[in-house]
This record gives sequence, C-alpha cells and structure tokens, in this order.
Amino acid sequence: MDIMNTKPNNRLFLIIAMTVLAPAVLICSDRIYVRSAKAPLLSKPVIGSGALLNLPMGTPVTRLTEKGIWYKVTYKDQTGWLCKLMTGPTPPTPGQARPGGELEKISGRARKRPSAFTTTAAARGLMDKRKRFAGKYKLDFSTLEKIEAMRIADDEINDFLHAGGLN
Amino acid sequence: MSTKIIYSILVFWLIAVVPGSGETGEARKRISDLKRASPNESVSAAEIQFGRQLAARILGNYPLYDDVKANRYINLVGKGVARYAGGEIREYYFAILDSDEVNAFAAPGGYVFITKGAVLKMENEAQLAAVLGHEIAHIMQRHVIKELDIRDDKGSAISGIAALIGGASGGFRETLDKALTDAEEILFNRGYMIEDEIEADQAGIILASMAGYHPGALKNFLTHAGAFEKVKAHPDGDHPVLQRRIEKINAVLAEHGLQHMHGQKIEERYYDYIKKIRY
Repeated sequence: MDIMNTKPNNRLFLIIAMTVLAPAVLICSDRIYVRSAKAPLLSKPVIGSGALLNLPMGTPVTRLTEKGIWYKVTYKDQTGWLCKLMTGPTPPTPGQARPGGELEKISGRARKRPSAFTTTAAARGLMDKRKRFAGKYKLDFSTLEKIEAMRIADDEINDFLHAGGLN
Repeated sequence: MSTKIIYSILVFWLIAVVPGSGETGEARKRISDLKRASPNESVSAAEIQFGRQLAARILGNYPLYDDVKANRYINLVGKGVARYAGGEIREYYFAILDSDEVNAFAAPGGYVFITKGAVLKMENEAQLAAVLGHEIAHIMQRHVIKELDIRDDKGSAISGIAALIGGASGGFRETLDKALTDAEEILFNRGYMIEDEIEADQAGIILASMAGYHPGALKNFLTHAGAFEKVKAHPDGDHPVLQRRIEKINAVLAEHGLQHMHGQKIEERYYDYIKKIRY
C-alpha cells in the first residue's frame, strides 16, 4: 500500500491507528531477561556452538520463538539462541544479603531457655554455644557461617575455569 | 497533510514499536520492571532465610568435612557451574559433609552439600560438576518448596514460605517449624519426586555442559556409584528409579546432540584436590 497515494481521510485514519496501536504493541513485545552471570548468545540451538556474544546479567532480550530448552532471541542487531535456564520473565533482583544474625532471631523463636547443663557446658567450652538443639532438631549456624565466609573472587573462578579448559 | 509530517509520524511509530530501541519505551519498561522486581526481592529473601534454617539442620545432622583446600575446590567447581544458572538465587555455597554415605543435599537459597562418600566415588571433576549442577537445578526449580506445597491466598508456594517467615504469631512459627521438618524429611528420608529428579538431571547436565564439562559425566557417575539421593516411591514400582533416570539422561544427551560432544573430564586436578580425603 502506498500511503502517500491514499485519500486524506484514509491517511488520517492510518496515522491515528498507528499512534494508538504503538503502545499496545510495545506492551505485548515478548521481552525476557538474562538472569545468569554467564549467558552466551549462541549461533545455533546447540551446546558448544559458537557464541555470538556474551550477554551481561540483566540484559533485556526479545524472544522470537522457542525450541526445546532454547529461546531464539534478538538483542540489538544480533539474533541467536539463549538457553532457557539462563533467563527469566523479570530482571534479576539485586544481590541478596545473607541475613546472618537476623536469622538467629528466627531460630531463636523456637529456642527454649538454655538449661543449666547447656549453660555450664558452654562456660566450660564443652559446647559451641551456636551448635544447639531447637526443639528436637540440632542446628549448626556456626559451621554454616564458616561456609558462607569462604569468599572466592570472580578472577579466581575465571583462572580456575581457564586452567581446566572450561568456559 | 504534507509528506514530511506523515514520514515523521511513521518514524516515531517505528521507534516506539521496535523492541529494545527507543528511549521512551525503554524508560517505561524499566519503571514497570522496577515495580515488578520488588516482590521478587522479598520472596528471594524468604527463600534464603528458609534455606538457611534447613542448611543449619543439615549441618546439625552431618558434620562438615573440615578440609579448607577440598572445600575451596568444591566451591570453585560449583560456582563455575552456577554461573550459567538463572533463577532468583545469585550466590551459591558448596561444602563437603563428613559422611561415608553417597549423598548430596540442596537447601533453598543456594546451599549445596555433598558427602565425602560421594566425592570418593567420583572419577573426575566432570562428575563432581554434574552432581553439583543437579543440586543447583533443585534449587533453581524450587523443588523442595514446591513439594512442601505451602501456598498463600493466591496459590504461590514461594510466597507461602515468605508469609511464614514474616509471620510473627505462634501459629506461623509452628507452621514454619513443621515446614522445615517436612523439608528435612524430603532430603533425608522421603526423597524428591521422580519427575523433579529427572528435571534436575537434565538441567544439571546442561549447566555443566555449558561450562565445558563432559556431558556424559552424570550418567557415568550414576552407573558407577548408583543414585546419590533418595527418590520418592513411585507408582511405577516395577521400573527401577535409577534405570529410569539413566534412560532419561540418554534421551537428553540424544535430544541435545551431546553424546559425541567432547567436554572436559579433568582427572588429575580432581585427584590433586581430593587425594587427602579418606573413608
């Protein structure tokens, strides 16, 4: 259709229709977000096929179609395949802080008053005061905090993967 | 109406419609995204709090294998695989439990445990990566939380957990305690549903393969060591769970063309890090 050769009334109708429809189409655009720290946009829906680029976490992409575990997506001028496991319908949430002490309050709700035995044992160093029974269940937050305290820098992970010939 | 005006409107229309371009559309989208992100943050926090309680219970049952070098290695492998995992959890923690049984546990919020017995049954780093990938998948897919089936008034399982965590009354506290006990029961005794186990197998293979590990590693480990988690009894009782899992893994490898993919197995580094571990 040649819009320039249409009658003025038809032209006006087309312009109004396009203007009204634009926001509706925008809302319906099938947008998803990269949720993983690593998300290669692959040239084919096959693990190990060439990566066109690596999409940073939080990148919005437009979903075109899907095939098994893959979404065919566009990002800027690139079209490729993204694994569904790396995406989500909303942007990733900011990094979550581990509650630490806050959780102690929650676990403390179920905690009974320490008995004379546990108090004495703790005083003697016989019992880790954070390794205790909540009701009939044993909880070990001190070891958990030790696990959480093991920090590994991204560079160290990169070097480790590189040394193993990994991605 | 002049040609210029019509073209101007057409250009405006194209800019607004083409996804991913157009500042106005982008800005509008970002605002709506921010509004939507808030509830996710609260459910993630609840998931972490719940998982942290469960992780403390796991550690109450199984002592940590206290070897910094081995635990650091497990974390490097696990975090390398977890980089390919989407979902709400951003930080994963991995630890070896001092137990001879062949087992692994995943608590919501990003806590993954593997027993010393399982590590000793493994033949290479790829098998470790596949098992850790399987556990990461349980967390990503929220299998424990879905199995608990605690729902809020809108039917959301994770929001149901969030309500329990946020609840202050004695009733909430008792229900939270019961939910934790049920979660422990799933991990230690009852097991996952076979469908969840198969889903975790598939996702674990994909995550580890994306990281560059040998795709057949999980199958090799299961064949060599047997199942490493309890799986709920299934009506299809005549068909052994392990055999069914291996059949499904074969199907996944075939479907994704992974049978002949040459990923890394990495034996030398594996033994270098775990050589001090003994039964």
